[in-house]
Amino acid sequence: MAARSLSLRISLKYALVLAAIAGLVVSIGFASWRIMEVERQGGSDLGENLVWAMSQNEIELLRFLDVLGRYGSGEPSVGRDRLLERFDVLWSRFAVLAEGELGDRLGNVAGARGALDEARLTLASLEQQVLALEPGDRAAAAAVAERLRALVPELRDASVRTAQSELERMMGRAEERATP
Amino acid sequence: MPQHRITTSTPWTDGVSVFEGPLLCDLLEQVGADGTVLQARALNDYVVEIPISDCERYPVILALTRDGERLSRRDMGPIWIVYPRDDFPELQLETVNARWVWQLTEIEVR
Repeated sequence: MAARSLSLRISLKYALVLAAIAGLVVSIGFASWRIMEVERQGGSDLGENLVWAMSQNEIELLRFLDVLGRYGSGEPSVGRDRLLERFDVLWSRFAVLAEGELGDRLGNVAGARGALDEARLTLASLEQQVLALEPGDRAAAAAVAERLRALVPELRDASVRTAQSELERMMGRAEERATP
Repeated sequence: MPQHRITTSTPWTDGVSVFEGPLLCDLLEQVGADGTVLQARALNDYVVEIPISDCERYPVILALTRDGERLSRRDMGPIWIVYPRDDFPELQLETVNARWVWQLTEIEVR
């Protein structure tokens, strides 16, 4: 009877040890899955870099203004092809933000959409003037540049607001991830 | 070069689009490229490295058209590197999105 009781106690002890090991394995498995999930989300749910995309509007506007000024002053290294190339690249930056994920997220940034719409309207209204520009026509180039320079502060403000909005979004994501 | 078609959504466009152009790997083969990494540069001087293994594993194309329309400079053209992201979920990562160079001007093989 005493031997049977001892055997039962030993079996129970082993069972508890086995249960503890099994629990540990499950915990490690769950923790590993959670880490992999967080890493996977980190690589796929932050979305496209809206801050970078917005900053490119201002940068390409300034690059176009630079080329425009040199074209207007008759600099031989800046031909019509280069002028129109920079004008197209500037246009394309606004197109990137018009649709898709970036366009959707931009809608959440106060005033940003309005600033881009105004910039696009200005570009459209200047299209014929830009196409008709002759190299060395300083006055005509200056007239175009004056209209475009007025866009710089608004695009800058829109970029700043976008950066702040995206920071809040990313902090929200970080909190979501930290919540089990 | 033979033209290939990819039907996919993108993070920069609405809905699903049909892109068409030559395979990146076909171009590399045609020029006898020898290396492991490509450095792709865009008109705005955006630069990114693309492992050549990408085009060996997936049918990555140099898209010249979207929905039958030739890509213009104002619309990501004239050449846009396009991945078949809808067919391969593992391509739906920001690190891969960064390789979708549009307004492609230069590819350097390293």
